[in-house]
Amino acid sequence: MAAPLAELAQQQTAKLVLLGEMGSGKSSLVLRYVKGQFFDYQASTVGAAFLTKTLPELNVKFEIWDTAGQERYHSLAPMYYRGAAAAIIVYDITSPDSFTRAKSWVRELQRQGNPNMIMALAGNKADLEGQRAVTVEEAQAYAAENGLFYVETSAKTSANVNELFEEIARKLPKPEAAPRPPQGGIVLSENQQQQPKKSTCC
Amino acid sequence: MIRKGVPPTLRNWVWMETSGANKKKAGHAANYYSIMVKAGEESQYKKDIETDSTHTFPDHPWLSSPDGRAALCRVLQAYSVHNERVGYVRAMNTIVGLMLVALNRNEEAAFWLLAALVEDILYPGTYSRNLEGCQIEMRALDELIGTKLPRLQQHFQAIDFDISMLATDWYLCLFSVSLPSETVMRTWDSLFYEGPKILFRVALAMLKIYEDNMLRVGDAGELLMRMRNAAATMHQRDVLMATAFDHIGSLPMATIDKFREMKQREVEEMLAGRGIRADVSGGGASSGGAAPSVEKVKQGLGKFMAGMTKMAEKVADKTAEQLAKMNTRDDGAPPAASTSGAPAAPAAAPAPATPAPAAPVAPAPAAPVAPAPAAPLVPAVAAPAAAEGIAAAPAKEEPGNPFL
Ligand SMILES: Nc1nc2c(ncn2[C@@H]2O[C@H](COP(=O)(O)OP(=O)(O)OP(=O)(O)O)[C@@H](O)[C@H]2O)c(=O)[nH]1
Ligand SMILES: [Mg+2]
Repeated sequence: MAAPLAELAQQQTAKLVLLGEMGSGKSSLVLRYVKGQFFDYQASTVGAAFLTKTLPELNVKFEIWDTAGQERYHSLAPMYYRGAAAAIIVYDITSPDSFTRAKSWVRELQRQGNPNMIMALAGNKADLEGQRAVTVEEAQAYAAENGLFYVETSAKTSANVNELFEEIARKLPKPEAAPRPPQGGIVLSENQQQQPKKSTCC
Repeated sequence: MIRKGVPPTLRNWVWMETSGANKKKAGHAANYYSIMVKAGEESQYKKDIETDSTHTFPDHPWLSSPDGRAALCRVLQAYSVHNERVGYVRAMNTIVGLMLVALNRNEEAAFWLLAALVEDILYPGTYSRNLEGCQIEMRALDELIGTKLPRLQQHFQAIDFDISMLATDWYLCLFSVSLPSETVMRTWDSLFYEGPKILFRVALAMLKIYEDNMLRVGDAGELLMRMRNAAATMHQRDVLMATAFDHIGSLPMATIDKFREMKQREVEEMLAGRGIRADVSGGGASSGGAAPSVEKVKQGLGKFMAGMTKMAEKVADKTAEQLAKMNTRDDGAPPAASTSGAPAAPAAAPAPATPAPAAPVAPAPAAPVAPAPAAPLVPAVAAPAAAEGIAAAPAKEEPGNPFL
């Protein structure tokens, strides 16, 4: 329900985008985080989905864009990551291809994305340890090289899911420190002026 | 009369004729489809198709059954080898799923209809490697919004809302996951007959109907979800079609083509700038076959259509009755329409879609449509509805308008 206006006024809104190979578990991670649910037959995403989640303790409202991983949708991605304050690049620890794809997303964001974007690398499906094909060491080394926050997650068991999002929220530059640039750049507006938003959280 | 909707019982025939699918089929060997089905078993897209088939209208009893899924996979795999250039693109699963239901599970008809759509009707390259054609169409739509609904375009720019966010589903899935299935049927009746201009007309109509609502939303994500929700409950087919055909104003093909040409360059540059090689070569099947002239088929059709009107009206009366029943459930919720008809009714009739003026809906373009139930179009938006729970949430705040 709608938070009191005074509170909203302090709230920091952060655009967060999920990118990664199809089937790596982007939608599942978001669904686990926002609604605490998990489906074995999670519908594949066409276009993108949008969800919000408020973290009252950190006074952050995430506006989450969950994109479609199918290769053909790749060239539509910029409209979703444009102006994002943070990105989670997801791969599936049982799929080396998905790790390769994750790296190419990182490169693309480094080239085209907002330079101050906080990037996290999530090795998802950590519950499938028996089928692991990407080692922690390899991913860790890559993440360190590229200044990414790295964590292994499981949307299925919910391991590290809250931690992933909360860590991103903590890493966000404070609104005072980074006033909203007029166009593009970081979207870290304090409650945007245009319209009082109806809260759609929870 | 096609604009008024084709009676469900005639749909198979009418779609096959108007789309040019029959002609296409006639240009191939009689057993062509079964050959493709066989070849499709080795399709490189087999895995993708099987995965997607598990959540194509998962609430539809037949489509979610092993039989339904197998039928869907057969058609899609066959098509992916018939048209190797295009292969399989997610979005085709929902199109074919809905076709199968509408066409009484006629797999071969669905195959040829998909072929006609991809190869002759839709803008070339709609399903190409980078969806160039689709991107061109969506940018052309943006230009049309600028001419038809300029206030809205300004608003979109102000809140950094790219119309493609909303229109990807529209142009790629041809509304199959966006609108209630009866409304999709009406749209497709016109699409097969009049071509891709219909997608622009229906898109502009949706935007026009909800323009005032959208102008009040200052956040791109929220606008997207509210519009999706509004579309999912657009049961007022007649209002939508009337707006599309009578209230959008003239929409000459020449204008659309001019924008397309402009946008084609833009999209090519965008892709080049991102190191992606553009592939605007169109959707034509590599395995060829004489492309039938849709125009020709249409010409011969005029007479038939006129004669059919009477019969159609009779059927329409009946389906209206059935639909009216379906539309009034105890809980007052609109029917979980979509592909399923009455979801409770086990895999019975084909699509419940009907051309009949739907009794229950009262036209009121500004604030249309019945109160949005919690999950309006469960089957169609299926998992997204679950995943994007907020889609439904706003509906609670202002019953009577699914948008707010
Ligand atoms: N075992 C296991 N399965 C998972 C996990 N996360 C997701 N899955 C499954 O993996 C499949 C794909 O998950 P999605 O969340 O749809 O993947 P996605 O990245 O959103 O895929 P696209 O929308 O196609 O880009 C689904 O069947 C999920 O149930 C996980 O942590 N563990
Ligand atoms: Mg997804």
